[in-house]
Amino acid sequence: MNITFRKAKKTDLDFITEGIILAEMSGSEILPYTALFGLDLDETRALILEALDEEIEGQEWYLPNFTILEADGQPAACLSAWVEGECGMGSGILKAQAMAWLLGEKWTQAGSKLEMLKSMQLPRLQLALQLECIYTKNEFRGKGMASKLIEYCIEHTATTSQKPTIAEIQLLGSNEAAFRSYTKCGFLIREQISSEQKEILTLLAHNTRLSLIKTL
Amino acid sequence: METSEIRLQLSNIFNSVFKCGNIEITDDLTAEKIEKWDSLTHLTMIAAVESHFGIRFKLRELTGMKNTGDLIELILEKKQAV
Repeated sequence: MNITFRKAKKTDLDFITEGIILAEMSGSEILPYTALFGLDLDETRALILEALDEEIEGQEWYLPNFTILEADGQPAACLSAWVEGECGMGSGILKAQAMAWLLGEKWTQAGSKLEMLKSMQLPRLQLALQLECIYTKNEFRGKGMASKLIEYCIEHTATTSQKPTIAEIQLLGSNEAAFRSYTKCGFLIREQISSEQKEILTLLAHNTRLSLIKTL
Repeated sequence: METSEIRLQLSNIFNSVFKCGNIEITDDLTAEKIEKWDSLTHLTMIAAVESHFGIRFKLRELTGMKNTGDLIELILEKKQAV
């Protein structure tokens, strides 16, 4: 199989949107945007496409942050990489601003659920290389695609300041296959947080979030 | 409206939203320096600033902000344009 890497283009938007949705579902049937804002799948796709179209740097939903792995000329996996805080604001604030802006009243109505999600937040390490929205198409799973993409992005992500010394991946506890894959790449658990609130499982696939890091 | 006046009013808003005593509004103040400044309290702070100063930010203006100095500049620009 011939493996190549390239930066994402506008023609990859549908592939990336599917990748973001499946990465957010984290191997479960729960789509957080349905549970939080009442969005169906098409509305969630539209929200992600609108957010990507706003071109907000410094967070995961920014097209130039995406790298595509192609297998025999076909997009097989994608990943978003950026340096946390390099743009000034943290990625969580930037993404929340975009979502609040795009969702309007639906964001406001989700206030109590969003407050509940705070118990599952892990602050991202400042100036660490963040790897998010890691997605491999079904037919290419089990072939080490995500590992190859992670290694490529660690080597090739452009930065405007000094090169990061740490890479970080955050994931939910439900994603055991992804956890095994990342630990095989040399990532170790930095921190984990669990919520005791039962309702959290109506919003997310698991009540534990992990931060994994790798020294570069 | 003077920058010093905006700083004073922002200090009141920040103290009320982030609930952490007397916050000194410096140009390089960012979320990393205030414990309770997270994605949700940030949006509460922005809504409070808009309401207090009678202005409305565009998404691009908000996402381009790097620190409190940028916020002060934006408020000044918008107040001068009124």
